[in-house]
Formats: sequence, structure tokens, C-alpha cells
Amino acid sequence: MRLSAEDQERSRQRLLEAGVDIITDKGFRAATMREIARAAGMGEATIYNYFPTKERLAYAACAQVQRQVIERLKAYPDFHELTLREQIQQLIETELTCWQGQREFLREIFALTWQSPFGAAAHLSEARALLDSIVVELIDAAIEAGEIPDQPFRDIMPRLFWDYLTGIFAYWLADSSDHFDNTTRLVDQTSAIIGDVLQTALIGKLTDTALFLLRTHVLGHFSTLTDTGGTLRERALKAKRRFMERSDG
Amino acid sequence: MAEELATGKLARAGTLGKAAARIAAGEMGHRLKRPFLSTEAQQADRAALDNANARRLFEALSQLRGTATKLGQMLGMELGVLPPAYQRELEKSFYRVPPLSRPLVRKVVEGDWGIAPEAAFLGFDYEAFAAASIGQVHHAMLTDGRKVVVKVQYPGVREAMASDIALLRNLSRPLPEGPLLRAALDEIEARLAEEVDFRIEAENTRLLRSLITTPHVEIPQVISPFSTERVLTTTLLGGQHLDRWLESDPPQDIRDRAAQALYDVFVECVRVHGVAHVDPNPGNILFREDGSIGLLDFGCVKRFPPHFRKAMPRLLAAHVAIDKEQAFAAYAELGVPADRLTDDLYERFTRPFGEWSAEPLRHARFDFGMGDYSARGMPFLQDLMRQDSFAGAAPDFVFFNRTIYGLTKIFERLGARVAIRDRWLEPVSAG
Repeated sequence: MRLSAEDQERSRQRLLEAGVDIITDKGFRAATMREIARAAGMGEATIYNYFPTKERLAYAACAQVQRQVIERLKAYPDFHELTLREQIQQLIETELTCWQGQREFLREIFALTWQSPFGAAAHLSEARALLDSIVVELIDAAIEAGEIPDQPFRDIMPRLFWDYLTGIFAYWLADSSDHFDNTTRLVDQTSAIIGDVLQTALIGKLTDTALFLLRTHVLGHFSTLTDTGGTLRERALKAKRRFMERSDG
Repeated sequence: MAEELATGKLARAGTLGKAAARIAAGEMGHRLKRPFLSTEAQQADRAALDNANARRLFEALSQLRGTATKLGQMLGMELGVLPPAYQRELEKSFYRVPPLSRPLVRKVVEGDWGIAPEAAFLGFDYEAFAAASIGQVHHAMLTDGRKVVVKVQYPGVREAMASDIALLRNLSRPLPEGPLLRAALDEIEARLAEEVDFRIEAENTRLLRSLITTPHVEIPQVISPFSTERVLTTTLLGGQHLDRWLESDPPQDIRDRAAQALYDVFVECVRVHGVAHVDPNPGNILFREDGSIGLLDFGCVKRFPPHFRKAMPRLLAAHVAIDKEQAFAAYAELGVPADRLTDDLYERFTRPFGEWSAEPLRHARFDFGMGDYSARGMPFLQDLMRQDSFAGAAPDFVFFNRTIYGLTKIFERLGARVAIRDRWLEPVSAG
């Protein structure tokens, strides 16, 4: 029986929801595609039409959450009036809000990606691309508005931001404070730091400094290092002569 | 010198632990020296020590930037328990909470109300207009047009509180004021717990608004649906804080009226209702052109038990009469143990302190314009507070005296003449 596109989409949603439930309940390893299919009211064969593997299903759920984040941010009134730092903070807070109901599922994802990081990197690409698009948009808008200077390493910003978000999630998963206040504070403080880093184009300045030091003081001396015999002996003789002259005078 | 902010309990313990160690070492030095110093030298040494201690203590506190500083403020706020050096340091170490960014304001409000601020009000200003001790305040307008003030709490304040109090307790160990400090700390801990739950402040505000009858005093109205654990909404009161108001050079009778209203509402609260606003500092009072006042910030409210309310007027009468028996009877009623009520105590502390306390009661109206009443009282109050003897009555006494002291400082700034005697003493019948 052919399903309409709508019905297919609904089935997909049901599978994702069921998948999150079962994986949260049983843990990723123990959860089976069959159980998930059953919980979604589907035959086991059908589930594979939507998701070839359990991993794919799990990561698709992550991408789903990411889409929710985007929707929420779009619905935020006057989002563009916030400073970049506030936008970053709001982005993180929205991520946390959207993941709130599936915190234990996120824990399973962390365990999963820890076990197979390369696989994760490949499959999480969808979620990641969605996040990247937000980050790029925020930074570009801020540069255009003159709020921050053009960043020389703008291209790696999304990657850095992904790492930052992962760090916040990890902290959040271990946070036992009331209302997750500790995570709120961490986000508050780190988003301020990031805002400052972007404001001062600090990353660029740091790398410029590192490059300067490297060029001037290390690379420039390669010739000296290879020619140690001659130059060093010359210098030693000069030093000796100077010393002799001083002791005479 | 850039300091790294100490986060995490161990780091905080390290900071305060070091401060405690340094203070203890300093104290030991003083104790060893003492038998060999003359009295003046002892006092000077003590003062120098206090200064050094104070500095160390508050260097540590200001690095922590958490409730430790707030505690320090409450403990020492002008007097009560700590020597002047501590007080000065305290005034410098301002309690600072980071400002809430707009996403954070939204998060806290939404967390408590389920809706964003702009959805709850006709208008909401995301830019705070003032800092509060553990958050900040915003202007807003209700749908019925009334202007309100919305106080939003910084998340995570309560997390830091319990450990900070524990640390301060440890810190107080080497200090001579230790026992009294710790008694006061218990009281303060309870009060701080109240401060981080704005529903309690809402309740206090409603209560005082319903009870107070002293004329020329306004208490804000709580807007109940928008007053929750971390967000408090009250009506906006008009008026200016003390400094600004004084710039307009209000006439003497207006100053007197304001001071009298302030004093009378305090007495009404203590004697009649047994519940008072115990933080009358210029930040919590609004002055108006007509001499009326507005009171703010009821997070910090003290309940005085009946025996205190009865004993206080008796104590003041005893001080006026310079009557040792009466004074000691009142002390006993206040909870000071009988074996502490010695002649030595009377001569060295109770009597001089009593004379100072009684001064304003010797006139129909006392003129605080002379300006040095509070300054003269400091040494007595300080010494008195050091006495272990008062540990039993400590919390009530500390807060009562602290409030009085705070009020007199305001009266001095106002240069006001205040009727005090007939608020406490029974009128003397002629013949």
C-alpha cells in the first residue's frame, strides 16, 4: 500500500518518538528495531524503509531536535535586536530547552558517540549542518552590522561552536543543581567570554602572535642550527676576546 | 592586580581557609604580645589587628563575589557585631551579582510563570533600571495601566549560599567575636533562605502593608499572579533616595516629618506587631516632597518575640534612670543568663552603653543635627557586642541595635529632630 508523503512523514515522526522512548528506557545497545517498530505501530520490515540502522534513527532524532531549535529561534520576538553574546546565550538556552524532555536520550547519544566517534561524526552530519547554519548566520549578521570585526578564522567558528555546545551538554548531563542553575551560570559566563573573544577577534590575534613568534624566533634560526660548528665557535672566540680585553683594562 | 574568580567549593574554601589561617596567625601574635603591652598600646595593637583582619577577611569575601559578601554586609552592616575597621571594609566590598542578560531575564521569568515577560505585561523594559542584591529590577506596566517594578533573581544564588555560610562560620572561629557571630549567623542563615525565595518577601510585604497604620508611610502592593519564587512584581513607589532628595534641600519641618515617620513605623512594627523591616538603609527608603516616605525591600524582616517587646521599653527606662536592678531585670527578661549579670558587667559596659542609649530619651525631641551621636555610640556598641554574656539574647539584640543605629545615621544625614521619648516611656504623671 502506497502512503502519501504526509503519512510517510507522520510514520517517520512516530518512529523517531518511539525510538527516543525505547532507547531512553532500555539504553541504546539493548533497544531493538523490532521493539521500536512495534511501539510505533509498524511492522519490523517497514522500519527499515525509513531507517536502515538503529544509529541512523538515533541521529535522525538529534537532527529533529536541531530543527526544533531553529523553529523556536525564528519565533523569538526581536531576536535580531539581541547582541551577539545574547544570541549565543539564547541559542544555547534554546538547545537546552529543546533537549530538556529528552535528557536521558541525549546521555545515550553521548555514550554512543564516545564508543564510535568516527561513525558519529558521519551520521551526526545532519544535526551538525543545521547547527552550523545557525552559527554562520549569527556571526555573519554581527559582522555585517559592525558589531564584531571580520574574523580571520570565521570558517572554523562552527566547528568551535559545536565543541562548545558539546561541552555544555556534557556539563548539563552531570549537573545535579536545582533547576540546573549551575549550567545556566556556566552558559551565562562562557557566552560572555565568547562574545568578548569574537569582539576582539582574539583568535586571530592569538594565532597571529603565535605565527610571529614561530617565524621570527624559530624558523629564522634553522640555518644556525644546521651550521652550528662555524657560527658557534666564532661567537665563543669573540666572547673570549672581549673577556680578555676587560680583565686587562 | 587581576584576580581569578574562585569558583567551586574547594577554591572558595582555599580562599577563605587561607584568610582564616592568616587571621588566626595575626590573632595569636596579638595574644602573645598582650601581657607586655600597656593599655593604650594594647588598644592600638588591637585596632591595627582589626584593620589587618578586616582587610584579610574582606579581601577574601570580595574575591568570592557570592553570598559571602552579602553575609558580611548583613553581619557588619554598620555595627551590630563587628569593629569599625570591618565595617569600612564591608562598605567597600559591595555585593555584586552579574547582571542578567536579556535571555537570562526571559529564562527566569518563563521558568516561573510559563510565559515570557512581554506576554505578561502591556510593556516590559528588558533593560534593568537598578541592581538588587541578588538580581535586578525592571520597569513594566500592567494591562490596567499601573506601573510596576519587577525584581528578577540571578539563577544559582541559592546554590552558593549554604556553603558560603559554612565557610564564614569557620572563618569566625579565631575571632574574639566568634560566639556572637555564630549566633548571629544562624539567624542570618534563616533570613537569607527567606531572601532567595521571593514568595516570602511577597508575603512579608503584604503583611506589613496590611498592618502598618503610621501616617505618611507607603508600602508597595504586591501583584500576586506575577510574584513567584524568583520573580517579584510590586507597584512602583514615587520618591527619591536620600542623597538625591537632600540635593533639593528640603525644609526642616519636612525633614523632621520624614524622620519621624521612619522612626514611628519602626517602633510600631517592633512594639505593636512584633515584625519589622530590619534593613532601613538609604537604599530601601524613598523620600517625597511632602515628607512622606516609601519603604522598599522586605526580603529582610525580623520577628521580635513578645518577651523582647516587653523588655525593651523597660530596659530603656532603666537606662534613663541609671538603675542597675531595673536594667538587669530587663536583661534577664531578654534572655541574658543570671550568672553574667555582674557588677563588673554593669560598670564596664551596661552603664556607659545605657547612658548613650538614654540620651535621646531625655528630651521631648532629640536633635540629630549635632551629628556625632552615632559615632559616639560605636565603641560602646562594639564592646557590648563582644560580650559573650549577650549570646543568649544575641539575635534580637543585634538586629534591634543594628536597626536603631541605621536609623540614627539617617537622622543625622537629615539633620532631623525626632520625638523618641514618648514612643517608649510611659508619661510621668505630675505630682
